[in-house]
Amino acid sequence: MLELKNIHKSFQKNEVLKGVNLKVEKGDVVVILGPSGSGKTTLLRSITFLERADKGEIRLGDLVLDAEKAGKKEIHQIRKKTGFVFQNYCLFQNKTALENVTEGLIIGRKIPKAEAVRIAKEALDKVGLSDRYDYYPSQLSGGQQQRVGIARAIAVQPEVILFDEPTSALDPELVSGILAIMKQLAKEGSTMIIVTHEMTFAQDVATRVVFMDGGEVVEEGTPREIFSHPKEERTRQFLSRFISDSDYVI
Amino acid sequence: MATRVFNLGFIPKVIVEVLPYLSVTFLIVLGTMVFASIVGFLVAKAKIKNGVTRHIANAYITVFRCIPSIVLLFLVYYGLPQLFQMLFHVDISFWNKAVFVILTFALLFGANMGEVMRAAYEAVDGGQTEAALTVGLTERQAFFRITFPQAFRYALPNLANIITGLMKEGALAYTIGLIDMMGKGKMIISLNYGAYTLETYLALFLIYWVLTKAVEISFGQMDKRLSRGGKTIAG
Repeated sequence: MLELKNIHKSFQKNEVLKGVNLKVEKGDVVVILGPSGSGKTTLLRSITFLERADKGEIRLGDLVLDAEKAGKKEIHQIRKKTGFVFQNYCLFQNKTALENVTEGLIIGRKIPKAEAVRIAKEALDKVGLSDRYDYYPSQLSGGQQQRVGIARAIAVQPEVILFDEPTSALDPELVSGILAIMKQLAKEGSTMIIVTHEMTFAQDVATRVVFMDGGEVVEEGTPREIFSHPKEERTRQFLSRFISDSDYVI
Repeated sequence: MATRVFNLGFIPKVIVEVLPYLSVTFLIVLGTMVFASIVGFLVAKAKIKNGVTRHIANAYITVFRCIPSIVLLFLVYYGLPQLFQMLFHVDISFWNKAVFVILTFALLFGANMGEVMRAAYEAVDGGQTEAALTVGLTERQAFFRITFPQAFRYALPNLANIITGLMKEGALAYTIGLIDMMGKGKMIISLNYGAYTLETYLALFLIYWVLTKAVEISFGQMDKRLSRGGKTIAG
């Protein structure tokens, strides 16, 4: 359903993505792991052209975009089919929780206001914010803000939802609530690509795990394959750090 | 020369005579703000874009920040007609003096406006624009619906400063013979052979004080009204 072919991206002379391929089927929950600077976030952002890749092809459904040449119209189309959840929530500070969700529906998709409000309320209810419709982002906790961020992304019924480290900016006690919502979305069959450092979540929820390092996909497979029997040395090294970390926790 | 007794009763008389010229002051402020905003917008855009134009914008800011307003006013008023005469053989010296005043202050305050706009724009977290794009807004919609309303609010306190500053500096316009409130005050002083100098200036001081206060208060109100979703900035 979503396919990335040979995605290249450099910032000045720093090559961040060195020809990445990725195939995502409908209903897949793909978790991308990797050390910081491995290009995970850039890859995610290049799907919706928040970062324009220098070379490569992006397919989503019947849309085929040449990363280098895609015009405004095509980019707009692919953005309408994807939802994006940001690390820092990136809520519209001048809009209420409800307006944050309706904005994309009314302005981006020309859905009549009453209908948009109904959809937005439904999305906010789903993430547990039925009592916060009229709150501004500054009046919400980090966890609540990220819930709005997720509601905003799912309300437009995207074909794929992209999560860029959705829990990294949150206080530890707020993380599980967000992960629970994402787990629920996965259960309902949403197609998701998630960049995260939450290993337990990756093991539980992912249908596929992709390990990236140095701007390329090093290894991919089922969570069991990656976590229990990693083939590549780099994957093993990366995971061992997390496993030794969890020893402390226990 | 015998000194005259200070006449408090003359102050209201001056105020009544000077107030009709408030419209000139308003015209200067309004005209300047319109053109300074255009200049400022271009400057801010150039500085944000980070291209070659940025250096031009920086040079402009540096130059015009360093010129005293009265010097630029004279340069524009006496120099521009000569320049036009030389280049296009057109005589513009008879143009309304307000044109020269507005041009001068637009050039001067455009530099400040540019910096105020840029700072306000950059104060709005860029992630919000990205978020707007991902939910299907165009760049233009993202700017006008998300970034601009927030940036405008960040700019309010500085805008109030610019407007009050401009109002007061605008009083320099009398030096090229424009009759605004200050010009009228000067005329009153001459008509009375300098007898009521102090009273006249005090009257002018009172008017400018009220005006400045009015700008401050109305901007404070505006800030409050726009502050939904955030903290108020002005005190």
